[in-house]
Amino acid sequence: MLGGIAALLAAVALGLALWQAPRGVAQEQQPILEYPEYPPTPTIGANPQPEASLQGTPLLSASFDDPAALTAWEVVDFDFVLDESRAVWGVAEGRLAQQNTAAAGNPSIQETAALTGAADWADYTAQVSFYDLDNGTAGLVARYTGADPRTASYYRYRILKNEYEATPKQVLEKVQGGVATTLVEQKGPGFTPRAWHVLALRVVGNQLTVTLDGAVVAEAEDATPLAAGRAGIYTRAMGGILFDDFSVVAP
Amino acid sequence: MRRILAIVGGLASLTLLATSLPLVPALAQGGANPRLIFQTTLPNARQIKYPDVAAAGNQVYLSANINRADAVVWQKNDSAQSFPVPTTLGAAPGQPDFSSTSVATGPDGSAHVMWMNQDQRRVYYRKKPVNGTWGPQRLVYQATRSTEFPVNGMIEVASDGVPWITWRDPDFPAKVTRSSDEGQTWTSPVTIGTNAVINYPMLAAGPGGAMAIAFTAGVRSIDKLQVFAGAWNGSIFVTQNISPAPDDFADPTATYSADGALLVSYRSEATSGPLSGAWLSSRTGNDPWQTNRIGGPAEYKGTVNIDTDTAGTVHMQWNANAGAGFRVYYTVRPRTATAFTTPVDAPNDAGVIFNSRMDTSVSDLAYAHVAGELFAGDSSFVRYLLFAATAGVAVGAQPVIENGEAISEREPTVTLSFTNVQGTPTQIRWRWGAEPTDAATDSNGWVAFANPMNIPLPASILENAPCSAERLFTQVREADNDTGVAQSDDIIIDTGINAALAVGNPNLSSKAREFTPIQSVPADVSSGGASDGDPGYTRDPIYYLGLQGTGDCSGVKDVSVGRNTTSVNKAILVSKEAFANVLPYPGAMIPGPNQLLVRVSDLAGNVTDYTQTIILDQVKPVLSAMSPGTLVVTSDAKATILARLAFSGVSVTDDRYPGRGYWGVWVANSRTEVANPTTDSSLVWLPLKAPATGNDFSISNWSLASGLSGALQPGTYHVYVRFLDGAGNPTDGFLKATVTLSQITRPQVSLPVVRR
Repeated sequence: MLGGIAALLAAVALGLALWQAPRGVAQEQQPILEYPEYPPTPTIGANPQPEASLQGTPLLSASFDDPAALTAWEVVDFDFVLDESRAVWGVAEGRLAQQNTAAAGNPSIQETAALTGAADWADYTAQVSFYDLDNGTAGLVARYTGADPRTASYYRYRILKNEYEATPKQVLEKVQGGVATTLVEQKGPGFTPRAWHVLALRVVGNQLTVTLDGAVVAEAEDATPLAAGRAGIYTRAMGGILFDDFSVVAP
Repeated sequence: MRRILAIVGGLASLTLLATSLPLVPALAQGGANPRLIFQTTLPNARQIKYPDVAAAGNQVYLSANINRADAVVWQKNDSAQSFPVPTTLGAAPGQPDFSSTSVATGPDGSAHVMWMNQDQRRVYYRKKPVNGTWGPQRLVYQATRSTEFPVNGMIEVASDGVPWITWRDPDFPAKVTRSSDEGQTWTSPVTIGTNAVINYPMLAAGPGGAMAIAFTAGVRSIDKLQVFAGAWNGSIFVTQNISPAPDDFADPTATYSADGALLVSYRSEATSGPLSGAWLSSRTGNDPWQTNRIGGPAEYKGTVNIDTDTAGTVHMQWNANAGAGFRVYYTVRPRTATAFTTPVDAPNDAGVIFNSRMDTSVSDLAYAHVAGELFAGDSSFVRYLLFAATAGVAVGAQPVIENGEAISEREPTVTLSFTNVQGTPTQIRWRWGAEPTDAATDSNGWVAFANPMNIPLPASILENAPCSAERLFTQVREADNDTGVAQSDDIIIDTGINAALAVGNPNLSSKAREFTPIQSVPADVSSGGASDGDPGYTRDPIYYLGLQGTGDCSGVKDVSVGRNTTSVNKAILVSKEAFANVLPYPGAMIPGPNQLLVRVSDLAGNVTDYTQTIILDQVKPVLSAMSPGTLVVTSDAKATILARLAFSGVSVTDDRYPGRGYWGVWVANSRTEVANPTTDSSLVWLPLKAPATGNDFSISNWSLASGLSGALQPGTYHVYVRFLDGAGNPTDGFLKATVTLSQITRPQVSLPVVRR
């Protein structure tokens, strides 16, 4: 009799445990299909340190060690998109990542930027390290002003990965009221994905200089320069790209 | 006690849940051999978004908005490795996200495209029949409310040929509309559920006109995206949340399997963990949904596409990063298999492909056509990938009614044979006008399959008007209940002769002007008498036969006549669906009623007999000499040459014509008095049907110029009247009257003044 009661209690306890289990646990299934065996994905190495050559008065430095660091940034889309398709940026594992779009998290080719800093920043160098997985577009923005990204004014440098067929691979441009004017363009080269690169955009007076991994890749002089504005990181809302160690220094 | 019951209830729920998740089946590789055939980027088409693809037979259609300007369609053979220049269907300007296109194929192989014009906030539609050209642009929907901004439109064609279009407005549930008149008009959009839809609502056509939908929607209570699916119940889509867990799931597509189950594939947003993967939920009838995790942990993007080809093979395709960057994956489940093959992938050598769509076709192979967006650094292009697998052996049999004849006669049964028999059908069911279902057949459910076989025509068809177009749907299955898709054949059931027949008086004025020159009138027919009369009479043993058969769909073949069914003469072939001639009565015609049987045959084999009684009357009617009645002629004041003939007290007797004894009057004019009108050859007699039924009547607008030659002059006009029986025999007696015209005036017609 006691055995029967114990068995009943055990069954009740087991039933209670299962009943209270989250629905998702009950749904756990092994996948029916196995993917082909692929070579191990290259490990993303440690974040590179910003170049010691970036000298000047620090205006901002972001290493993204804290997920709350994103609160200092404004994410903008340069095309009209529905709310559900807004570009999503996030901070994880000590890096800033472009994470596709809102809602279902699908990639989109819309241009997007994460902006920071002050509107009165005039002469400065913005620098960031980036690691591309499968996005293929990286860049920097400087002297950004405007309430609507589609009619804003700013300088932008963008570079494509070498694997893309499109050219030019590098473009330094001035966007005024939403209309872009090319200052410098390079047919190639682009950048190599799955490797850390350091990109810097220096704006001093009417002089613009871009360096990639320490080498000057574009220089321009703007006779009617934009006066001042925020700095930012540029890419497309396709996910698959990491940024780290963003810094802005005044000369 | 209540607690224990609750626990027991919980266990029961868990048991149900467990049974809804079948054990993982073994992989089915056997011979399916899925592989990538090739992939290519379509030229001269930039800034595209959401390309779509559809296939039917061995034809593939691919639609997209290109260059921020146009909605276009490419068409190619399913195995071809290049696309010809596309056809532009309409304007799709502006940001490509909001001017998307969609293409689908109908059960007859027709192509259907919808697209959106964001500037106009309109949805458009065009259709291309098989081997035809694109039809006119039709407006599907015009957004009017400020909250409306149609996006993510998708088209599907039901098995009954009706196109359905669904779309959504941001932050609102999806809508659906359909057209039953080639896109000319569309039903008022029906809202689907209450949840705001994210991304594309996707339609899937099933057997028997069934339509299902699957979509992603946010669920506020858990703050997650969930996948919903369900079928149309005749008024609305009855959808339910089919997500396997309260986590984020998205981007479903749907298809019906060969056995009629609704399959919905979708993805988890999780990139790792127990929920990450591609998922497949299925439901048969109203059974509970069964859910399987198809693909394992990976980063999935875009729709998980699923489609059942005409041989019953289920194809799946998705985009995922499973460790080698984003790739397009493809797997199949043959009809007789229980599991999918190991997925094959397409190398992403041209860039990342996303927002892909898939459709399938079966010819030499089972093909899966995939169209996706390819971003190459500065713009998006259409990337097309062609996968293939071994074509499945379907259960099927193409019905052929009456050996392929376009038109069948009215018979209680039709012969049904089958071509392209696939598998080993053992049973068949059929239905006229719609696909058979478990609830509705014209075969009383499943019956034994035979090739050929005779099937009855339902009374509803036999009672239809001649030349009704009918479509027969058949469906076969094997002994193990593997069931093929419904297939159809069309035939026109010519349920009878559709012809106009005139039989009777050979002197009728209403005879056809063109006679069929094949019969000669007997030489011994008498002369004299009027050239009109009652249709049922003749004064000679001849009759008029007029036949007009242009309304008969198979065409009137011949006509034959006789006194009765046993004496029908040799058939007379009919030319150009018509016949008209005066013919001798077959056999001896006796005074009084004579029966005539006219037999008309059409090319479908229908035979119809018409019977007509013709009265031979060779005796003249007699105008009473004692009280013949009176005639008064009055000229019209406005047109003096028109006169009113007023009769009163006419008294005529005739041996055959009933009632007052006469059918009409025979009237002649003369400028001089005639001594003996019955023999005077200068008079021109014209027959007129006498109105009313009594002996007091009048005839208006008699022209005093009738039969006269030369210029009309004022003076006295003499009018003579004799009376005609039905056969046109005139009385010898006559009435006469005169009228004097002081001037000649003719009728005038006032025409509208036309000014330049």
